[in-house]
Amino acid sequence: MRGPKVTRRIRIGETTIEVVAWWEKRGKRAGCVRLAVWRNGEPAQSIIADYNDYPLRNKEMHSGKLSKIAFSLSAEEQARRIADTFIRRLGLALQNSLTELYQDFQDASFWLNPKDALTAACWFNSLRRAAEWAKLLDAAQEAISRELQRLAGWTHFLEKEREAGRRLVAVAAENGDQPDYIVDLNFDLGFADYAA
Amino acid sequence: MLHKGPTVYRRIVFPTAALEARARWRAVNGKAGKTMLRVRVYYLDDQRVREYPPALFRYSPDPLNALLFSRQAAIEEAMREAVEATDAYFVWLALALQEERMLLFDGMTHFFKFDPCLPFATSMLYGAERMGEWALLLRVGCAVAESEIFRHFPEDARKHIKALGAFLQNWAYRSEERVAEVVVFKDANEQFAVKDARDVVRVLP
Repeated sequence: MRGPKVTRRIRIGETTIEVVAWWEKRGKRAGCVRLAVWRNGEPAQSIIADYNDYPLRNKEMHSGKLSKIAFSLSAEEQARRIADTFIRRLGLALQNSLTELYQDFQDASFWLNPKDALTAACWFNSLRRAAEWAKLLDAAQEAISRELQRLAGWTHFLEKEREAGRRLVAVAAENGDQPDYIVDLNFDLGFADYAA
Repeated sequence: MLHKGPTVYRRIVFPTAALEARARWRAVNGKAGKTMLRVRVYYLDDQRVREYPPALFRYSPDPLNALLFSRQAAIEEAMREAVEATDAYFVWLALALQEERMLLFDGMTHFFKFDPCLPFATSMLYGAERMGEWALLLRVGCAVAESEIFRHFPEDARKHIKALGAFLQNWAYRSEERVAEVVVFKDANEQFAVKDARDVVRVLP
């Protein structure tokens, strides 16, 4: 069982980064939201970004056609939440906002604090999930930074990186209700002419 | 030039499986060095071995610095690095088996603690990745210990798991030894027992 895919695209220089998220459930396992980051159309490994069975519960609460709509809406909502969280964290990483980024990692989706985990094994799973997120964030950040460095040079690199980060955080907050959107950092950061 | 230090082994031998953690310092580009930890599980029943992806303990140029004085000092320094990695693994495994999660958090999250001195978010994300590698290896250790104890000592298994954790916590610091083993076995009364391998008199069948 799989919900609709949501996509967020970030364009910078000649690179396009696609963040794709969808809810799915396989067999008797817990439902999960999967997240994949693509670069220039190259497929990447997807990670399990979050676990929840909310779309399935929502489906069971309704009957007939309504159940399909309820499932689709809530599955998309979960996917949007995760995709926008990724964009927000990517923005925080680009800004080097360490306090906010760490706080974001500590929030309810990770249980970095062992007090919140049932057992040590659960806690290790949370740490592994946080590590998988970090790997994707690091890869996306590296791709953006490389393009920024190419476009802005070392003189304005940090300033443009911060600006890009701020833009991504703002976009993630503004467009949380849209299934797909594109952030064109070339225009936002004044590189449109260079990129063209 | 010192390329690699000695490998340090620590094992827990259960009745039908053995958990092995081994660590080694090695030079990187001749300027720095790093210590990696690897975990293997030997399934003694069906003579199968499984090795998991390695985890980075830390970067350290200390053995190379010591090389300026003598080769022996560098080897000792490299061994100290490796011993620290295996010690950390066994201490954290002991804490996890005892469900002492707050202590574990204090120790283990040194990889990913919020540090305002970090210059870039990349360093923090890198730390989180390292922490994930360790979490996998620790989870493997917990899973092997728990399954073996539940399989062979089903009565009071939880109590035995905690006893093993408490034993390991005291046993873990073994700075002088290159190879050290703990044996979990059934004693003469068919009860759970855990001892350092040197204290067990092995009787061949």
